[in-house]
Amino acid sequence: MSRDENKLLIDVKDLRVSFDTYAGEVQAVRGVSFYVNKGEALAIVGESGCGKSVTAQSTMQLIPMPPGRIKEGSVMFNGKDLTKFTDKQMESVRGSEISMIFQDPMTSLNPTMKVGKQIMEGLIKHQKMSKQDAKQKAIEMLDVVGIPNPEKRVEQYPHEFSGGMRQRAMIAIALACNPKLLIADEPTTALDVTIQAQILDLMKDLQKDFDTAIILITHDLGVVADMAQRIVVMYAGVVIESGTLDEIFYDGQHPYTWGLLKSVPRLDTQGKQKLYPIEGTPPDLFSPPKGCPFAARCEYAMPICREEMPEKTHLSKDHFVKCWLQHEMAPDVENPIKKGRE
Amino acid sequence: MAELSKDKFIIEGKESSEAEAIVRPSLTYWADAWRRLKSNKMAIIAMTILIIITLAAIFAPIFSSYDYRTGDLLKTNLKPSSEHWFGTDELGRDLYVRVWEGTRISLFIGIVVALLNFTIGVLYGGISGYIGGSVDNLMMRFVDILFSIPYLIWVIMLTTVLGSGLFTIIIALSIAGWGGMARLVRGQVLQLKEMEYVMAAKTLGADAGRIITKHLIPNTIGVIIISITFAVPTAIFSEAFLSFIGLGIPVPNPSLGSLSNDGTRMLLLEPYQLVFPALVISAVMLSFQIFGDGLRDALDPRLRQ
Amino acid sequence: MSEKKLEGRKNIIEVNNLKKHFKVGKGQILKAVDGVTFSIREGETLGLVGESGCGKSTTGRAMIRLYEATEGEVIFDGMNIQRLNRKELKNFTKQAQMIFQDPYASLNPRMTVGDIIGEGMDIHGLRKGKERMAKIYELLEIVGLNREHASRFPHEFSGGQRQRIGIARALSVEPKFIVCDEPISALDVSIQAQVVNLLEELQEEMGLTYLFIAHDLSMVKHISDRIAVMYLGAVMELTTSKVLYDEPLHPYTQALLSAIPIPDPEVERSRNRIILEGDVPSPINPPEGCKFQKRCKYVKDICREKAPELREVKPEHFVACHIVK
Repeated sequence: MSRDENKLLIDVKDLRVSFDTYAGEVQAVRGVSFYVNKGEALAIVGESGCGKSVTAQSTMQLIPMPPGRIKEGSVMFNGKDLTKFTDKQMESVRGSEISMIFQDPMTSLNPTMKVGKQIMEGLIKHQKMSKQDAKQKAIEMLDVVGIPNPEKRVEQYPHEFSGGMRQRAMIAIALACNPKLLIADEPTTALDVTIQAQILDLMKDLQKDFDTAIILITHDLGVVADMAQRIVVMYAGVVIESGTLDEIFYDGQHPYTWGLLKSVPRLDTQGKQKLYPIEGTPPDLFSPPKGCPFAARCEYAMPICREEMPEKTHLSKDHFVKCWLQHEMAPDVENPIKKGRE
Repeated sequence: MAELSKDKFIIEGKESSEAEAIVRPSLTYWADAWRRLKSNKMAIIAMTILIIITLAAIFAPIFSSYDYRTGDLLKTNLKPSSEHWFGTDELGRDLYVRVWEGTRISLFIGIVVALLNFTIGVLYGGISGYIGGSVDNLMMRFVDILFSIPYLIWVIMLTTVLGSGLFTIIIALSIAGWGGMARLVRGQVLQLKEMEYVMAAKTLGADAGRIITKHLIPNTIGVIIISITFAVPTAIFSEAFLSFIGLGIPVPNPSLGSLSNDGTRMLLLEPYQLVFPALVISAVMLSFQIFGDGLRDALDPRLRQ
Repeated sequence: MSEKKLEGRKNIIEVNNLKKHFKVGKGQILKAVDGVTFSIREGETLGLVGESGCGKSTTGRAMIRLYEATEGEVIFDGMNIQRLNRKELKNFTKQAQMIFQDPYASLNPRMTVGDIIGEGMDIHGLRKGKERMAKIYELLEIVGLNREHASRFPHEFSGGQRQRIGIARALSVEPKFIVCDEPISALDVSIQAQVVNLLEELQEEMGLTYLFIAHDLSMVKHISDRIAVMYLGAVMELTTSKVLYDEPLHPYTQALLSAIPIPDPEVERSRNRIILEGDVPSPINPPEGCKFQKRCKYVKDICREKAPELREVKPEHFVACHIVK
């Protein structure tokens, strides 16, 4: 699904977010733009500290301010700029039109409140449901997310749920008001693999059934291969590549994207394969490098990379990359992820 | 982009040193805490007041020509003047000297009691938490029992045995006070000893002494300091209360409590006799509370970014 | 990298019917490890995988005596580690080390990185003064950091860097055997490869033996020579990593393998997942008979009655399942 003004749900433009710390300003997000169409699943991929969570949280004004602040940019949601919303206006958007699920289901549920009640809260607040109706809906939602005995479970507290169940309950809360957009911030990182498979399966089904758009934030490209239609790759607070699922996986052009793909061992390959880690650590955004932020860790770094940030190069309708290798003067480099497949 | 030349497009690869560099200035725990404390204006004002009061308590009686014990019966109940800054009491003693002498005794009691609480509490709580199990259970039940007896009863009991005085008050307040510190330290130790770095030390062959001194205490010290900061005013206030009801420091030694007690008797005639000790005691209490709050914000790791 | 030749090497550590039970109040007993038997050969990496609560970390900790075993024995280099006296135990800690899971909790926040790495040398009195600092610098460089980092504090480092500091600490006493307790679970995938490659290089250079605990099977497959799959305190399957992935026999192993996402959209689209129903049951009051019966789709009557033994169905391939012939 490429950009279509009629189907556009959220359109983030040139978002800049900074945090003020003892050492000075940390520029966590440095001019990020992306969009999500209605009913589409977009993945934002990158290492921890690349600004992917801050980006998502800023769209909902969920970052603590201070020390955080949105310096620039707009978040157009259904034609309205969320960055200009007051707290009160945001409250009516959160939970009803945009919902969020987090990495740790343990800390994102209120331990002193029955699970059912936590689902009902949003329904009563946003949809003005009566208590009876809300409870009925809560039971229905628990059933939808695959929790057995929902009539009994609705009366239980979070500690009576296992980790996977809690994440399901979180999803039930998030989807109760039928939001148009669900932001999932590393939803399966804290879960076991068999439970991760269950939750991803569930999210895929719900996306279809409810026609909810999803922004999936993750550091694991494996999770993305099964879920997303489009991918945004972030590094050091900027988008360095973006494209459809297949464009990124089979025709990715940025060395960082290559690194992400090559550093993961694959179960389905024979024999012992060598891992190619991305050496080093992402730059501290307290003083972001002048040129391309990945240059210090890039095998293909050139003098120009350390001097100037590369511009966007469009490769297709959806696919763009910011890398000096695309420049006409740059040497030809064999694409290692293409090579591996032939 | 005309100035781009071909030689800028030669692949030279990554520089490993660059990729692992740390650019932020190094900051130790204490430097970080001090930075945070400094940014808290109220806490700094409170700290300054405390320093001034402490200095006054130490030096004012020394540099004054009056003695806090001997009065001039011709000059009783004088109002504050250039000669007697805080006036004199009904026995003609200079109140300025007596207030600071009283502050000195009060601060002394507060600090000694807090340090005793600290020493006993850290040892007891540390051992109890570190050993754990049934030993911990037994040691903590003992604290519970001790704690269930109000300190007033300790004071009365000890006064009958030891007689009233500074020593009795310090002992009584310490007996009643160290349990809180012990509980706090035990809780911290129980939590910290499950941390992976403690396990790592055990794996490296560290003995109990090393684990306690190198790993457990340094990581509880912040909480302990905060607790001491709050223990000092509590002890001062307890002493003041005891002196106020006549169970405290015997005459002619002043304390902020007994001075206030004397002041109340003259309240309608000579209100200044209550005002000065009351002001000092309020300033000390308030400053310790605000300073303690600031210290907690500065030292508590949960608030660290 | 070629497959290592492991036949004929002697066992460095043997675990015989190891049990570790915890009292959890009200007379209930949590059977974290319930009769586990395996051995690791010198220079080998044994992978130990399973979901949370399966007892894999407890097994690892009991193997270096961070926990006292409830039953069974651990034989290291011919000595029963449960019976060591104080001095022997201290000596044992020089030979068996551990790398921890949480890069944030495993380094003392009040110590400098230099002191953290030097602690093992201080405890055993191995090196002092200049020699000690030289060794610390050397270790820092081995793990890909530099000597300026020695005076820094842990909170100034990223997760991957901290994990490498943890590795340097373990190496400081020059051990033979290292328990790697989920050393990569808390790291980003791109950083995981750094740590895994480092562990492999160190093994090759120093001849180390690893027990590699993880829940991520793709990394375990990569690093391990043999793999043991655990479920609720028992080993379900144990074989070489190649065989385990090519022909997994236990239904649980099959489900576990199927649950791992593969970073390839085409493969994912055509893949048929085995999605396991339900959650891992609690190790308090585990089911009688086979521990996996509640989630197994092949379950038969015998599975509910009798716990299957771990038996060798093919050479070097052990399975605990009544269904597997």
